[in-house]
Amino acid sequence: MSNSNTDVSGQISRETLAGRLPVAGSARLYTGFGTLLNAAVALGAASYNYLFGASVAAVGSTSLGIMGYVIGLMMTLAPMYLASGMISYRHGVDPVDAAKSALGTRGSALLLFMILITTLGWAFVLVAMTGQAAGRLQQVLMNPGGGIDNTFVATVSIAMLVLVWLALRKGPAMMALMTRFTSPAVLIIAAVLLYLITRDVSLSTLWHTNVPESSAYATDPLLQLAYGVEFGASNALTIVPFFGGMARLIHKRKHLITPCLLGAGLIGAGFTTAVGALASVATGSTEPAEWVVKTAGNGLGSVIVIVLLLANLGTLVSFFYLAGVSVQQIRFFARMRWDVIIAVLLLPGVFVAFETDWLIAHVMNWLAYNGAMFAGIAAVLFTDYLLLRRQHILPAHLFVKSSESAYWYWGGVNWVAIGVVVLGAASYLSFFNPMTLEVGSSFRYLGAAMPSFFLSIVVYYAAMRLVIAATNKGGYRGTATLATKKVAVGL
Amino acid sequence: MRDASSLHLIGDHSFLIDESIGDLDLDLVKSLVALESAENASDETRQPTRSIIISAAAWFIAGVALWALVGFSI
Repeated sequence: MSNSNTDVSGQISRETLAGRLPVAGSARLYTGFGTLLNAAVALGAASYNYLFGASVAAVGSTSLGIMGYVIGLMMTLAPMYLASGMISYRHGVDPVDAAKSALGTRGSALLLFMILITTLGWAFVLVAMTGQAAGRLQQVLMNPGGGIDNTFVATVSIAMLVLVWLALRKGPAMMALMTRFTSPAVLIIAAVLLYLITRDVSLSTLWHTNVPESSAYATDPLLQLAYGVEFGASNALTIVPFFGGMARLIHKRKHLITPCLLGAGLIGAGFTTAVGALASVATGSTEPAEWVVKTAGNGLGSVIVIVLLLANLGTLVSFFYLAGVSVQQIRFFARMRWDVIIAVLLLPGVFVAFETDWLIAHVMNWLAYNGAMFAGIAAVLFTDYLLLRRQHILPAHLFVKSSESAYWYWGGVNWVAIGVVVLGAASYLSFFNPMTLEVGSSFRYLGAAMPSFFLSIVVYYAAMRLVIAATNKGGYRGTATLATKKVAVGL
Repeated sequence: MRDASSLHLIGDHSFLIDESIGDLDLDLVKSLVALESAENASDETRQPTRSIIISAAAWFIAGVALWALVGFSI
């Protein structure tokens, strides 16, 4: 590499990490196993996992629910990482730019839309839950028997928003620094909570304690296991819009799958959800702030809840960073200063702070459909890059905004891919309705996420083979010529 | 107006650049040139990905095998 190119790399490395510019290998943030594991734990471990834990126990068998949940994470996360992270890892590009090769120059707006509603949806749910948990703690300590002080809930929620802005305004470096502390804190707290709920009742006894049959989702053990697997798989599918943003900051090949799967999956989501499941059968309560104080007493309980709430900052910072990078796909945001972008994204949180009940009730329901949304899109991304293109794309063409782009397809959209995304969602919902929990006949053996993912892969592969044979659309043929073609690029 | 000769992009590249290019887009061109540089081509991120795919496949197969194992044992 020439000296001038080295200078260029050094000069823009800081900016690339905070924006949409491709990140060269030498400028990657995550070079060590430990740092990446911490960041992955922060992405997977959040206090809403304790609520998911209650759902896992509610399948009817606590042990089968927990085992199924962990199995669902294991078998689903790895294909999702390949689908959503490979282009971003190889070329350092943002996931929305990466998706242009499969969805089309304009079609990738679909992924942008999904990323924004998912990251911001989950982030605001977490802000609301943090505020409510703090309010519950204040009520238990200072106003027992009374109601929750909504002004206090709003104050804590807004304070969380301010802390997120302060942490992120200088770019992602603070994210890495913060997760170095919050991730171990989340795990230590989960371990302490596990100790507290097993002080009087042994772990083995809790493992075999189930919710009453009348309130269980199922009584058939295979169906109970399948529900657990599907909850884990559904959680894994929500990583699809996030993971590219993390993958573009990873340097070593050996770190792309295992530390992320261990951190975000088994340790972050798996362990904390398992603790939530055991706690819900031990205490009969699904509200962590309530059962922690009941179990640990006012003093220690308060300390644990406060640390738990502060630890949510690591997850929030990760979510808003990924949303901040993605939103720069819109030129209006690309021209803004990074700290202003973050402030704009945080702004709706002020409304959230005053309407936490409404947000948790409505947004959580809607987010249950994440699995249906991402099965098809993951299949398209996986098939297009790994099977159809054999990992060869033209990074420059991801940034060509005209019909000169190799990825222009039909008017900037790959309608075949869009059709398969819709097919994936329809297929998922035919196997499993996440709101009513109604299931199809094969659900107890196959679940919903994996059959929908594989069906979408087969349909997309076959349909695109026909497209490639019949047309020159999509830059699948003549890549050597396309690579030398002079193009105008832009953000 | 920007003088294109001051862009300091050495060697062959496939980008159309003129004096009207904005700072953001110029940064993008520089990033893409850096991405295609010889140094980055030999970086670990551009090496064959067989180990990544094997690692992912191993986790997937382990998950499916565990599901079958637990399913048959209940």
